[in-house]
Amino acid sequence: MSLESLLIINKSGGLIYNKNFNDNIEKNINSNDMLILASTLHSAFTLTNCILPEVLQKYSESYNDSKERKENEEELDVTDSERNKFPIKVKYYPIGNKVNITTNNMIANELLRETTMIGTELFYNKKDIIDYEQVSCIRHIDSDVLDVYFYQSITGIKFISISNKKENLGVDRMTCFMMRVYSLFSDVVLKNPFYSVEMPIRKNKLFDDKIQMLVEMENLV
Amino acid sequence: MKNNSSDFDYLFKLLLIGDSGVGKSCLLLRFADNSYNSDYISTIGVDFKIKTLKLDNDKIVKLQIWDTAGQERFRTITSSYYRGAHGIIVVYDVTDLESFNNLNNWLQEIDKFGTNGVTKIIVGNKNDLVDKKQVTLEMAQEFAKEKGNLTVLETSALSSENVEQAFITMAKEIKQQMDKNEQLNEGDESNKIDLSGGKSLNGGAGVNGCC
Repeated sequence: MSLESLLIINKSGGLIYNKNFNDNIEKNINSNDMLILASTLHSAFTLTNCILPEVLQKYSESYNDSKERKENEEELDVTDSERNKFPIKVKYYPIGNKVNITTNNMIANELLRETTMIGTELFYNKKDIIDYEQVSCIRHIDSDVLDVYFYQSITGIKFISISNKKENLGVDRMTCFMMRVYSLFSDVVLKNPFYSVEMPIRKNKLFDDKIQMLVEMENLV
Repeated sequence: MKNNSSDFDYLFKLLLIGDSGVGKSCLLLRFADNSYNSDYISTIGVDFKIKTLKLDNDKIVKLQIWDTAGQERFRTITSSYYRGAHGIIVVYDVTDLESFNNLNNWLQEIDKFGTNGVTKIIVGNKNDLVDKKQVTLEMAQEFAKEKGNLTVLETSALSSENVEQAFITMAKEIKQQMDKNEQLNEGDESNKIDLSGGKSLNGGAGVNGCC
């Protein structure tokens, strides 16, 4: 039981989904507090974007969104050695973490049933390293009692995992996990015709179940 | 293990902008907590509060209101918050002509950083100070008309006059805009194929008969 909470935040900083894996959180934090927590984390993320060195800004998707920056983009002089540092490489972690390939594929099959997924390579053990396309300003916050991991999709949706210190999960493993959550999100939520983009994900049982299944299979709870 | 985010239908992001000291934070404090503080505490960066509303059709809306710092030195930070806002409330001080004249700059700022077609309203605060008033409602309305028929409201965070009105007007305008966009996507006449003039296959076969 190391994962405490999973948040999904839209690009304007509003909480659109959260799932708590610890019942105590439910008792002590109401939905307004959760919204404020989400927006605070979003703010921290946005502010680090503002103080990012220019070279990194070029790669930072969310920063490029303001029209003014786009005009300046071409003027930036990026040397080859700097360019080679990006995208960041993320070590691949299979879903069942440390299980063999066949078992891993069986788990993935179970998880992907009823869906037609594009990002399947995230679920099947094919690669050793994943290109992490984006410079995320914060990827990991380490505190005495909690770890917070960030993953920002190319469209600006942020996935945040909050975990306790019972197990050292590592940035790469959590990034892999959140990339899978992103895959499920684009597959199960965005393809729902009744879902309006950027709004809270309501009563989507399939998505809820898939997340629960994924988290259990990743041995995170 | 239920998830919290399912107890409301919509989440709207509202933004309060305007010159320093016009009473943005006081408006928000009055609306969200129904309280008032006469001490001037400059906002640092951005602050936010949440208020739950029920609209006419029983839909529960959470307004997440982001209160920005008006001071010039926070401008680079605050401009990055315009992104994805559904509504922007531009505040001026009715006792301060300068803050009214600056509205133009703020509207330009919205054009620069905000989403296209974001809902805007103009709010003149401190309307309780009748004897110090420098900006009349007529002046503000004329300005708002020029800028594309924006709604103008005069409020007072001290007496809570019109405060709730301002935010509810905003929420309704955003909802209308959203419904309009949805209808536009579904009901675009030019995309439809008119089938009413065609003959049914059975009828056609009947006329030709069989040789």
